[in-house]
Amino acid sequence: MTDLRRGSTKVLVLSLLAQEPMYGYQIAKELERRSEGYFDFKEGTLYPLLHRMEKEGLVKGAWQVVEKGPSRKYYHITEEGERILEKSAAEWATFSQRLLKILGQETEPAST
Amino acid sequence: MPSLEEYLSHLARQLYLDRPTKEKILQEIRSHLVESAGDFHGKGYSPEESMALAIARFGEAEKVAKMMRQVYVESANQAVLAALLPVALTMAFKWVILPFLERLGSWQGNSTPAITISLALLALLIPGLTMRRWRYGYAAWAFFSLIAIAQM
Repeated sequence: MTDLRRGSTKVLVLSLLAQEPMYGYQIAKELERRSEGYFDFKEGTLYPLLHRMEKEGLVKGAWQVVEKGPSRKYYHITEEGERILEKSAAEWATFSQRLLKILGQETEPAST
Repeated sequence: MPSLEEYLSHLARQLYLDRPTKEKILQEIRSHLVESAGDFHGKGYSPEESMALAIARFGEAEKVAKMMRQVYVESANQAVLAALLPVALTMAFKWVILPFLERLGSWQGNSTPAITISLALLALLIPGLTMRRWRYGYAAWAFFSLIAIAQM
């Protein structure tokens, strides 16, 4: 995975958790599915990221007992996480727009 | 390729963290690998092949353990710094600020021990309020406090 894609994992994980609480394996599968394999990474690297974000107060983990199979730790986004997500998403949008402009592939901004 | 238990024991040996933290991490990773292997098994692989594929997708135990250690060691270092801060402030107050004020002649109060103790008690709040892992914060605070008391 390139540094660019690696650097975006935090904002991608936060954006998934903003939609619903998820556990580690679910996050890995969703990232793979939604990016059609583009954001391919060793799944084990996801946990240090989740634990770091939990320490930073961006997400909160809670164990949930599952009837069949081992318990799962679900991660919820916090208010601070939502604030960081909003800021990071805006930065990434600006970055990609500027980059496309330089490359001469500027797209029309989506109408609201 | 190692079995699930071999992989987890290898990972556990590399973590160098306190037991409760280590157990929580291993529980989470075990849950991940079991579910991942289950998905591969559903695609027709044998149980052994499924677990080997799940472990391969998860990554080398050394790398995962190293990244996880960095998360927790950074946090412990911050706790030690936060714990050192109130003690350093108290000592600076007693040995630098008060003597300076006394020299200026603008300080008429008694410099010890009530003020120093009150300040130290107030400063006690700092590690607890700033550190998520408050136990490390207070353990380090107690350590530095003993050193400070020994110096007085």
